[in-house]
Amino acid sequence: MAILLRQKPDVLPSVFEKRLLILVGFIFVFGLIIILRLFSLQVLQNSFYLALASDKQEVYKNLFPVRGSIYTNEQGELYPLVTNRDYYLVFAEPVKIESPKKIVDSITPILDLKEEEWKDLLGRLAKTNDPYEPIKHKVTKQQMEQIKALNLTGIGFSPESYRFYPETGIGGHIFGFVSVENDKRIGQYGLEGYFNKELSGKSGLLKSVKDALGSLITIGPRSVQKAENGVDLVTTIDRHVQFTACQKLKHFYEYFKAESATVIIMEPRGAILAMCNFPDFDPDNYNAVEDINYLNNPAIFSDYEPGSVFKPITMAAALDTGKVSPDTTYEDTGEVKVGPFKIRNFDNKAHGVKTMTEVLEESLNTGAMFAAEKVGKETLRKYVNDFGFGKNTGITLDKEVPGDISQLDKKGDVYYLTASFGQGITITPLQLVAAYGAMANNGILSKPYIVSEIIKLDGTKEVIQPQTIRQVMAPKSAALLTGMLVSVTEKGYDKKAKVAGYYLAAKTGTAQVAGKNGGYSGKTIHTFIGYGPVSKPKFVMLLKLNNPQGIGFASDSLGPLFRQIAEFLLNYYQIPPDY
Amino acid sequence: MSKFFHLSKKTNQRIRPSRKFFPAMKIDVQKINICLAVLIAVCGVSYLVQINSLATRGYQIKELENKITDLNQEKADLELQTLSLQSMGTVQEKVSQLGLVAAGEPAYLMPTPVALAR
Repeated sequence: MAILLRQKPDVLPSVFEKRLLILVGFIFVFGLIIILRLFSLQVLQNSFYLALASDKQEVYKNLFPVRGSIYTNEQGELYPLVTNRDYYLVFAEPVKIESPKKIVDSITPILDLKEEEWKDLLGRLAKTNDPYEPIKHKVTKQQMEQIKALNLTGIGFSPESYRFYPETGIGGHIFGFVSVENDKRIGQYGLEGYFNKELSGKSGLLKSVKDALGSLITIGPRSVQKAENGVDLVTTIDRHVQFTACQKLKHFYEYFKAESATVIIMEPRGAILAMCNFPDFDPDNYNAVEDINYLNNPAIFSDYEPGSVFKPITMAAALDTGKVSPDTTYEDTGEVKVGPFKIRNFDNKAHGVKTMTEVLEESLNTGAMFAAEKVGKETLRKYVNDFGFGKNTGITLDKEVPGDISQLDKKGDVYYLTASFGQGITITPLQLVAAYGAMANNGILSKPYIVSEIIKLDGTKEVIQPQTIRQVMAPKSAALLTGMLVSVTEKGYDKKAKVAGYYLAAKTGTAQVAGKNGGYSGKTIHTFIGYGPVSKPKFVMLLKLNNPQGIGFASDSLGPLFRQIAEFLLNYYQIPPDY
Repeated sequence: MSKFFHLSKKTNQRIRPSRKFFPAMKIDVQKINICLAVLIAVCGVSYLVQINSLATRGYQIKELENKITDLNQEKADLELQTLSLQSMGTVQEKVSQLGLVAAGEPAYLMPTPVALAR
């Protein structure tokens, strides 16, 4: 028994030892489980948890560059026409919101939400498993601070930048607009579209660590790839001229109930001083535009048959080649037969013997055809090309069209003869302004430009100088033509454009609009273009009304407008009178 | 005895050991250890204080940066407000309120030919 009792502990463990063994085994298994779990977490699922942890502890931020501003130069100082303004996005985290009704009641008066807006918001905030709902964009700082003061749980703010236009209603077509697509800001139309890449700059990246509250830890590791801000543009636009021209044009556009209207004012060397169209759009609220076509700039996008304003181009070719002089005469029989076609004057009348000057004064189609016949088809085509028609002017605005002068390539005399008085070919208003600019500038065609300086990030400036394209006609021919066009305002139909004390060269055109099924519709396009004062031209101005109501000719509809704006310009630039 | 003792002069004077520049020092390892421990503790504490101070400064810098941002934004807002007030549309609306009058026609002085008699 004694032996048995002594041997028992060696062979059969006591209850205590059994428990101890079980505990050890349990601890071992538990440890093993922990090790396996750690192995799974740290080795097998390493990348997943690394990413998860980095999301909690690290910050990756896209650093957005500041979009460049658009300025105008006012007596040596830059005045912003388009710049940036900081706003806020108010958003909600419905998962944290206990009472959606209280939230909506609190923020509705501050954000000025309409009934359908707050009702919609109430429904969205009631989704208890929804982590994020945007409430309103473009919230001002004052509004944001008012909401912040309410200490509402589940309401947050995020800064966002938008374009700001100090001058309203003066240049949607020049500036274009900036839209947001997939969190990216994209410039479209106008300067914003043409210079989108340069204005946008380059995004940067910030990589750092954050604390439990989400703030960056200053002494923590940080890697910053700085964002590069966009360049600034300085335009040639004169704010006062632009504003006045736009206002006056708008008045005439509304008075004549025209479908559209355009004004372009350019220095003869190509600097655009004003460019305005109606219907316009507000770049700050471009989504509200009634028709998407209104986003296009008609001054460079809408090509049309110019009509009689094209006659000086034909006359320029005839004068420069020495085929006619201002006093060359021909007999106007009221119509010209070209093959099976009969081409008549606008008034269907015969005017007898007329000089080339009188052809422009009285806007005779037969006279333009006489000059074109003298010049010949090939030479006329060369001059039309040299004046810059049929190709883009190269202005730095988005979406320019070249127009269509292919009629001059067609066989058959009727095509170039009708083109001689501006029918059958299409041009843009800006091309016409550039061509008249050549007449005003001793026959030198200059490239129209609207950006005078590009200011880069480091402060260096790229200055855009007036660019000569070619000498289209001799200075003598340009002077003769200018004299003929002065006679138009002094003696012709366009006397309503006359400004006392100044000699202005001008021409009107009332073109019929081509119908859809061939021929011409009853609609008309009125154009009035001129420059002055002829002793030292300061401006070239084009005015255009599409289908004005209740008025027949451009000399009546646009002559007074030309005079009003010309008077303003002569006064504004303090140009002394010629006589 | 060594041969050197034969040649040496007998003297009553005690032969003094040559004087050493530095007296023999007894290194007390325990004290050094204590010193090192204190030094480590001081360094550790000062490191902690420094790091803590840096971290606090970080927050202070952050606060100041936020303040600068706020002030810059306020400045930008005021500039934009100024631009709005200077705009042609606003000025036109306030023409009568501001008592502005339209500029009249400028008068240009025309030089008249002068004849002088001798």
